[in-house]
Amino acid sequence: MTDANADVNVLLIEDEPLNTTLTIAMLNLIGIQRVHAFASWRQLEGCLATLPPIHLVLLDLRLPGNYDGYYILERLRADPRFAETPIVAMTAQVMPDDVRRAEQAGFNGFLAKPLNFDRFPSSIHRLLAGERVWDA
Amino acid sequence: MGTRTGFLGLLETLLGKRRPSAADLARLTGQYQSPVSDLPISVTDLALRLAGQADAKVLLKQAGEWLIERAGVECVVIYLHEPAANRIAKPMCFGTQLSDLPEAIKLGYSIYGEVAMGRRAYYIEQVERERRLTPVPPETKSAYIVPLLHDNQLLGVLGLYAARPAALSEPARVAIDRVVTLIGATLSTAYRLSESQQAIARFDLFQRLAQDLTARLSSQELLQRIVEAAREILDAQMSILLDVNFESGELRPIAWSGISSETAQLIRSRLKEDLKGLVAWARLPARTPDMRTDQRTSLATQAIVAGMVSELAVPVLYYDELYGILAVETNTYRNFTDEEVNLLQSLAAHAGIALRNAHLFEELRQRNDELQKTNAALEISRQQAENARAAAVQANRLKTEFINNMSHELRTPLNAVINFTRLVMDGHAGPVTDQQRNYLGFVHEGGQHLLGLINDILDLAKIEAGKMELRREPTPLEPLLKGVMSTLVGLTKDKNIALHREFDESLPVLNIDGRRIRQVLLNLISNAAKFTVQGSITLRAVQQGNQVIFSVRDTGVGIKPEDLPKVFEEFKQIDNVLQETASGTGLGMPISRRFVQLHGGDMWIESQLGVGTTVSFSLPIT
Repeated sequence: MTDANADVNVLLIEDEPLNTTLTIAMLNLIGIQRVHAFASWRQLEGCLATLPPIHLVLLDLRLPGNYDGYYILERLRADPRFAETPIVAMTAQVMPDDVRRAEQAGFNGFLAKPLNFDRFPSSIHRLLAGERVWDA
Repeated sequence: MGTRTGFLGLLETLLGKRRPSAADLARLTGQYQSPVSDLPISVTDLALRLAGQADAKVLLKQAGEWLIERAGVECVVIYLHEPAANRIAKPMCFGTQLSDLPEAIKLGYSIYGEVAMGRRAYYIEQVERERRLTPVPPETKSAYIVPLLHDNQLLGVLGLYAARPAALSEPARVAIDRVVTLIGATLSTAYRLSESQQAIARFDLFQRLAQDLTARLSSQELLQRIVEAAREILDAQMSILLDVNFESGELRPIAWSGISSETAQLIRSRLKEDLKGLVAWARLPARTPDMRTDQRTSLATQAIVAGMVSELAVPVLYYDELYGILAVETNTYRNFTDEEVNLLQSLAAHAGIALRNAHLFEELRQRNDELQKTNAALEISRQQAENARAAAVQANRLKTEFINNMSHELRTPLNAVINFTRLVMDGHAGPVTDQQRNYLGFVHEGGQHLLGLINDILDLAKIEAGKMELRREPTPLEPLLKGVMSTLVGLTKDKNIALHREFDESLPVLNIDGRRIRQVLLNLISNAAKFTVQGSITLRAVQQGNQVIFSVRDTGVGIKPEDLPKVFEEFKQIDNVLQETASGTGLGMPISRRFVQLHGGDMWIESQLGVGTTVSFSLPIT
């Protein structure tokens, strides 16, 4: 299983460095080594063209500045390379209204923070396999 | 522990502001004083719904439906008081419909009439023993008949019928009493609003009619014509009309002819004094050929009307009511004839009509002023209620926003605390000693506890805001109970406790939110595991009629009878002999009960100190 994930590329957009470190560590545990982490849309926008094909996007919803997770989702979906990519909301905003909004916006999954350490590996595998995962 | 205390302190501050709405409304309307925050039923949203409602029927419908929704009763009946007929009548029925309710009940007759007359609530614990109470909905176990009062005035009677014994327990009745007080206050305000609106409409109609009648001549002009006519017809030197004020006993000139205004203003009299006063008093005409020698005429009058000799005075009457007197005086000696007396009397009759109209106008004007004032005051209080409602809505919104923000801000660092701890604990960051793993376990447990607390507060906030949504789906009970049972095995593995299961696959499939009911059961078993040192814990589920009764029975420390009602209060933890078990949020039981109630069921507790506790709940089969 570890080898199977060696070529997986994950794009992570998260403004809190502690959470970035944690998510990378938890992805590393299941063999995912290629994590491309950005703290904002401004950072990501310039590098988007240089990224390798991405298999999974983990997207924080509440980001500083004008560009939140919903904006980024819209921009990514407009890019043909991300039209079919699983894009997951990874957020601490977990009220029913937030979850519904994420569902309507077109996310493929929802991972509530704090992340569930035991369920995280299977959630990632299911998402990579094309399933929808709503761990709200 | 320090962190937890600090965090709880923050929560207390937060929850201190939890219900500004009800308190504000109470202060502004001055209608009900007691904060109801620690009672099983919160009336905040009822107060919000009823505020400013002027239509009594709509108001009672909202209140009745609210009671069905929130108080866990099957049926609510409301009779309204008709003071003129000395009865209560026109029953309204909510929830289970009762078709054969009597249309009217005399005060003092049957249970409703007794409650209305005595103005005291009547609780019937076992309906089958109180045969006078008919009709009752099927399955009713207990009933609570409450007078609807405001300012000691009887407005009606409410009857609540429950199929579950706990719905009308002592604390529930205390809460219901407060709800009924609130309904009484808002109903009374609604009555006053509509009364005042009706009175103003009637006055407007009357005023328009009166104006049409007297459009051609004002009262003052008519009176002036009358005194002038009297002087001319009777060939007198002066004539005067005096109004009578019964409160002061004074007669006051209001129209005159043949004298100056200054002189006229000096002609005052009192009832029974002077010839004019005697006429007013006796309501009979009087004449004097020479007032200078007539003892009935005061010296003051003689001085004022110097030069006048004879006087004729008649009462101004409208039917039997005295409005004043009309008098003529001559400067020559004269014996007024009976015919002249009659003539002056018929003029006085015209004056009577004009004066009466003038009085009516004055009365109506005053009444109108009062009504306008009352209406303005009511309008102000309606606006205040409306403002209070808006303020409460705003406060509620801020509270929700605050809770959402707090949740987000706490979850973000907890994500790091909980998961980094697991990374290290599980050896992913290098070898860990047993003691280190042990200590990291404490860190992890602390983090999970905080997370549980945040989740509980969010649940409570959602329930309060009416935003708790159940995801109902057909759920087989046996697998759910088995899962709970295996968690219980884990919870008690270090203790010497026997576990019993009393449920089987014959249980029906219920249309419920399985996740929430599981949460309720997990809360009950974790309480049982926490408070039990030895003996046994039993998880039971059995179908009873059209419901399934779940119960968790333990042989734990038990609860003192006086502490039992506190179990379902938010943030209340009960002192117990196992000091180390005083953990938890104090929210588990209240939230569990609310979840069960959202499903249309109820939860209750039985306990004996030192013997054990049984917590049960029911879920209807739908």
